[in-house]
Amino acid sequence: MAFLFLSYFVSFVFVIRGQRGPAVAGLALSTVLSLAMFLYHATSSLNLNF
Amino acid sequence: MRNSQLLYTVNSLCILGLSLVLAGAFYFQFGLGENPCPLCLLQRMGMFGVILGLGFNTAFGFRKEHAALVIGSALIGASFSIRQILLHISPTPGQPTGYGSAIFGMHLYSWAAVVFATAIAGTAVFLFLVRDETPGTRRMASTFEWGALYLATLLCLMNVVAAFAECRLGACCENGPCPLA
Repeated sequence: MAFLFLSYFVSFVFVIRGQRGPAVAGLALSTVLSLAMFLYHATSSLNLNF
Repeated sequence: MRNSQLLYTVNSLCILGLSLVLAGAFYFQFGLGENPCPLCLLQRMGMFGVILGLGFNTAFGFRKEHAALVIGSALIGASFSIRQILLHISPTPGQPTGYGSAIFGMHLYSWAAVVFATAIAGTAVFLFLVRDETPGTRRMASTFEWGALYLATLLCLMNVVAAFAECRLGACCENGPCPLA
Protein backbone atom coordinates (compact mmCIF):
# COMPACT_ATOMS: atom_id res chain seq x y z
CA MET A 1 0.00 0.00 0.00
CA ALA A 2 2.83 2.40 0.87
CA PHE A 3 4.37 1.66 -2.53
CA LEU A 4 1.08 2.57 -4.22
CA PHE A 5 0.88 5.89 -2.40
CA LEU A 6 4.53 6.45 -3.27
CA SER A 7 3.77 6.05 -6.96
CA TYR A 8 1.03 8.69 -6.64
CA PHE A 9 3.48 10.95 -4.78
CA VAL A 10 6.07 10.59 -7.54
CA SER A 11 3.39 11.55 -10.07
CA PHE A 12 2.66 14.69 -8.02
CA VAL A 13 6.35 15.56 -8.08
CA PHE A 14 6.44 15.18 -11.87
CA VAL A 15 3.42 17.50 -12.21
CA ILE A 16 5.03 20.13 -9.99
CA ARG A 17 8.29 19.89 -11.96
CA GLY A 18 6.34 20.37 -15.20
CA GLN A 19 7.14 16.95 -16.67
CA ARG A 20 3.81 16.07 -18.25
CA GLY A 21 4.74 12.78 -19.94
CA PRO A 22 6.30 11.12 -16.88
CA ALA A 23 3.42 12.43 -14.74
CA VAL A 24 0.83 10.80 -17.01
CA ALA A 25 2.87 7.58 -17.04
CA GLY A 26 3.11 7.70 -13.23
CA LEU A 27 -0.63 8.19 -12.84
CA ALA A 28 -1.32 5.35 -15.28
CA LEU A 29 1.03 3.05 -13.36
CA SER A 30 -0.53 4.07 -10.03
CA THR A 31 -4.02 3.41 -11.37
CA VAL A 32 -3.10 -0.02 -12.72
CA LEU A 33 -1.41 -0.93 -9.41
CA SER A 34 -4.40 0.20 -7.35
CA LEU A 35 -6.73 -1.83 -9.57
CA ALA A 36 -4.46 -4.85 -9.12
CA MET A 37 -4.56 -4.35 -5.34
CA PHE A 38 -8.35 -4.08 -5.51
CA LEU A 39 -8.56 -7.37 -7.41
CA TYR A 40 -6.26 -8.96 -4.82
CA HIS A 41 -8.53 -7.76 -2.04
CA ALA A 42 -11.66 -8.91 -3.82
CA THR A 43 -10.33 -12.41 -4.46
CA SER A 44 -7.97 -13.05 -1.52
CA SER A 45 -8.70 -15.75 1.03
CA LEU A 46 -7.59 -13.37 3.80
CA ASN A 47 -11.12 -11.99 4.30
CA LEU A 48 -10.25 -8.48 3.19
CA ASN A 49 -13.80 -7.61 2.28
CA PHE A 50 -14.34 -4.67 4.56
CA MET B 1 -4.25 32.01 -21.75
CA ARG B 2 -7.63 31.14 -23.23
CA ASN B 3 -9.50 30.67 -19.93
CA SER B 4 -10.20 33.15 -17.15
CA GLN B 5 -8.22 33.08 -13.92
CA LEU B 6 -11.50 32.51 -12.05
CA LEU B 7 -11.82 29.03 -13.56
CA TYR B 8 -8.29 28.16 -12.45
CA THR B 9 -9.08 29.43 -8.95
CA VAL B 10 -12.18 27.23 -8.84
CA ASN B 11 -10.01 24.32 -10.04
CA SER B 12 -7.66 24.92 -7.09
CA LEU B 13 -10.60 25.23 -4.70
CA CYS B 14 -11.64 21.74 -5.82
CA ILE B 15 -8.11 20.52 -5.01
CA LEU B 16 -8.40 22.13 -1.58
CA GLY B 17 -11.84 20.57 -1.01
CA LEU B 18 -10.55 17.09 -1.79
CA SER B 19 -7.48 17.74 0.39
CA LEU B 20 -9.84 18.65 3.22
CA VAL B 21 -11.66 15.33 2.78
CA LEU B 22 -8.34 13.45 2.89
CA ALA B 23 -7.26 15.43 5.96
CA GLY B 24 -10.58 14.44 7.56
CA ALA B 25 -9.70 10.80 6.91
CA PHE B 26 -6.47 11.41 8.84
CA TYR B 27 -8.54 12.78 11.73
CA PHE B 28 -10.47 9.50 11.84
CA GLN B 29 -7.21 7.54 11.64
CA PHE B 30 -5.15 9.37 14.25
CA GLY B 31 -7.73 11.43 16.17
CA LEU B 32 -10.31 8.70 16.67
CA GLY B 33 -7.93 5.75 16.36
CA GLU B 34 -9.80 4.06 13.50
CA ASN B 35 -7.28 2.29 11.29
CA PRO B 36 -8.24 2.59 7.63
CA CYS B 37 -9.51 -0.56 5.95
CA PRO B 38 -7.93 -1.77 2.68
CA LEU B 39 -10.80 -0.48 0.56
CA CYS B 40 -10.66 2.87 2.40
CA LEU B 41 -7.00 3.25 1.43
CA LEU B 42 -7.86 2.44 -2.18
CA GLN B 43 -10.56 5.12 -2.12
CA ARG B 44 -7.98 7.62 -0.89
CA MET B 45 -5.87 6.68 -3.92
CA GLY B 46 -8.84 7.37 -6.19
CA MET B 47 -9.09 10.84 -4.65
CA PHE B 48 -5.39 11.44 -5.21
CA GLY B 49 -5.93 10.44 -8.85
CA VAL B 50 -8.71 13.04 -9.14
CA ILE B 51 -6.46 15.68 -7.52
CA LEU B 52 -3.66 14.78 -9.93
CA GLY B 53 -5.99 15.37 -12.89
CA LEU B 54 -6.89 18.78 -11.44
CA GLY B 55 -3.18 19.40 -10.77
CA PHE B 56 -2.48 18.88 -14.47
CA ASN B 57 -4.84 21.81 -15.11
CA THR B 58 -2.87 23.93 -12.66
CA ALA B 59 0.52 23.11 -14.16
CA PHE B 60 -0.27 22.81 -17.87
CA GLY B 61 -3.63 24.55 -18.38
CA PHE B 62 -7.07 23.14 -19.09
CA ARG B 63 -7.08 20.27 -21.57
CA LYS B 64 -9.75 17.69 -22.25
CA GLU B 65 -7.16 14.95 -21.58
CA HIS B 66 -6.88 16.22 -18.00
CA ALA B 67 -10.65 16.00 -17.62
CA ALA B 68 -10.42 12.41 -18.84
CA LEU B 69 -7.87 11.68 -16.10
CA VAL B 70 -10.21 13.16 -13.47
CA ILE B 71 -13.22 11.20 -14.71
CA GLY B 72 -11.22 7.96 -15.03
CA SER B 73 -9.80 8.24 -11.52
CA ALA B 74 -13.22 9.17 -10.12
CA LEU B 75 -14.85 6.15 -11.79
CA ILE B 76 -12.21 3.81 -10.39
CA GLY B 77 -12.48 5.35 -6.92
CA ALA B 78 -16.27 5.13 -7.12
CA SER B 79 -16.06 1.44 -8.00
CA PHE B 80 -14.03 0.89 -4.79
CA SER B 81 -16.51 2.78 -2.63
CA ILE B 82 -19.57 1.22 -4.28
CA ARG B 83 -18.12 -2.24 -3.65
CA GLN B 84 -17.75 -1.37 0.02
CA ILE B 85 -21.28 0.03 0.16
CA LEU B 86 -22.62 -3.20 -1.36
CA LEU B 87 -20.62 -5.29 1.14
CA HIS B 88 -22.41 -3.55 4.02
CA ILE B 89 -25.76 -2.78 2.46
CA SER B 90 -27.50 -5.69 4.15
CA PRO B 91 -26.03 -6.12 7.66
CA THR B 92 -26.45 -9.32 9.64
CA PRO B 93 -29.16 -8.92 12.35
CA GLY B 94 -27.53 -8.10 15.69
CA GLN B 95 -24.30 -6.99 14.05
CA PRO B 96 -23.25 -3.33 13.73
CA THR B 97 -24.28 -1.66 10.52
CA GLY B 98 -21.52 -0.53 8.19
CA TYR B 99 -17.81 -0.27 8.85
CA GLY B 100 -16.38 2.47 11.08
CA SER B 101 -18.00 5.67 12.29
CA ALA B 102 -20.74 7.51 10.46
CA ILE B 103 -20.96 11.23 9.71
CA PHE B 104 -24.47 12.66 9.37
CA GLY B 105 -25.77 9.10 9.08
CA MET B 106 -23.45 8.02 6.29
CA HIS B 107 -20.21 6.06 6.54
CA LEU B 108 -16.98 7.35 5.03
CA TYR B 109 -17.17 5.03 2.02
CA SER B 110 -20.68 6.34 1.25
CA TRP B 111 -19.38 9.89 1.41
CA ALA B 112 -16.52 8.84 -0.84
CA ALA B 113 -19.04 7.71 -3.47
CA VAL B 114 -20.70 11.13 -3.20
CA VAL B 115 -17.31 12.83 -3.61
CA PHE B 116 -16.47 10.81 -6.73
CA ALA B 117 -19.91 11.45 -8.25
CA THR B 118 -19.45 15.17 -7.54
CA ALA B 119 -16.03 15.07 -9.20
CA ILE B 120 -17.56 13.58 -12.35
CA ALA B 121 -20.43 16.10 -12.37
CA GLY B 122 -18.02 18.98 -11.71
CA THR B 123 -15.82 17.87 -14.58
CA ALA B 124 -18.85 17.88 -16.87
CA VAL B 125 -19.43 21.52 -15.90
CA PHE B 126 -15.74 22.36 -16.45
CA LEU B 127 -15.81 20.71 -19.88
CA PHE B 128 -18.76 22.92 -20.76
CA LEU B 129 -17.06 26.12 -19.60
CA VAL B 130 -13.36 25.79 -20.51
CA ARG B 131 -11.43 25.76 -23.76
CA ASP B 132 -8.29 23.73 -24.39
CA GLU B 133 -5.06 25.64 -23.80
CA THR B 134 -2.28 25.48 -26.39
CA PRO B 135 -0.49 22.11 -26.17
CA GLY B 136 3.10 22.03 -24.95
CA THR B 137 2.88 25.20 -22.88
CA ARG B 138 3.47 25.50 -19.17
CA ARG B 139 1.31 28.11 -17.51
CA MET B 140 2.32 30.54 -14.78
CA ALA B 141 0.03 29.48 -11.94
CA SER B 142 -0.63 31.78 -8.99
CA THR B 143 0.81 31.21 -5.53
CA PHE B 144 -2.62 30.10 -4.31
CA GLU B 145 -2.85 27.46 -7.05
CA TRP B 146 0.64 26.12 -6.32
CA GLY B 147 -0.13 26.18 -2.59
CA ALA B 148 -3.18 23.98 -3.09
CA LEU B 149 -1.16 21.53 -5.19
CA TYR B 150 1.72 21.47 -2.69
CA LEU B 151 -0.74 20.80 0.15
CA ALA B 152 -2.20 17.82 -1.73
CA THR B 153 1.34 16.54 -2.44
CA LEU B 154 2.18 16.80 1.25
CA LEU B 155 -0.96 14.85 2.15
CA CYS B 156 0.06 12.15 -0.33
CA LEU B 157 3.50 11.94 1.27
CA MET B 158 1.85 11.67 4.71
CA ASN B 159 -0.20 8.76 3.36
CA VAL B 160 3.00 7.06 2.18
CA VAL B 161 4.42 7.30 5.70
CA ALA B 162 1.16 6.29 7.42
CA ALA B 163 0.62 3.29 5.11
CA PHE B 164 4.23 2.19 5.59
CA ALA B 165 3.86 2.45 9.37
CA GLU B 166 0.65 0.41 9.25
CA CYS B 167 1.35 -2.22 6.59
CA ARG B 168 4.97 -1.80 5.40
CA LEU B 169 5.16 -2.21 1.60
CA GLY B 170 2.62 -5.04 1.32
CA ALA B 171 -1.16 -5.26 1.43
CA CYS B 172 -3.09 -4.02 4.47
CA CYS B 173 -5.27 -6.29 6.57
CA GLU B 174 -7.60 -5.16 9.37
CA ASN B 175 -4.95 -4.21 11.93
CA GLY B 176 -1.66 -4.06 10.12
CA PRO B 177 0.15 -5.92 7.38
CA CYS B 178 -1.41 -9.04 5.91
CA PRO B 179 0.18 -12.32 7.02
CA LEU B 180 2.38 -14.02 4.46
CA ALA B 181 0.89 -16.95 2.55
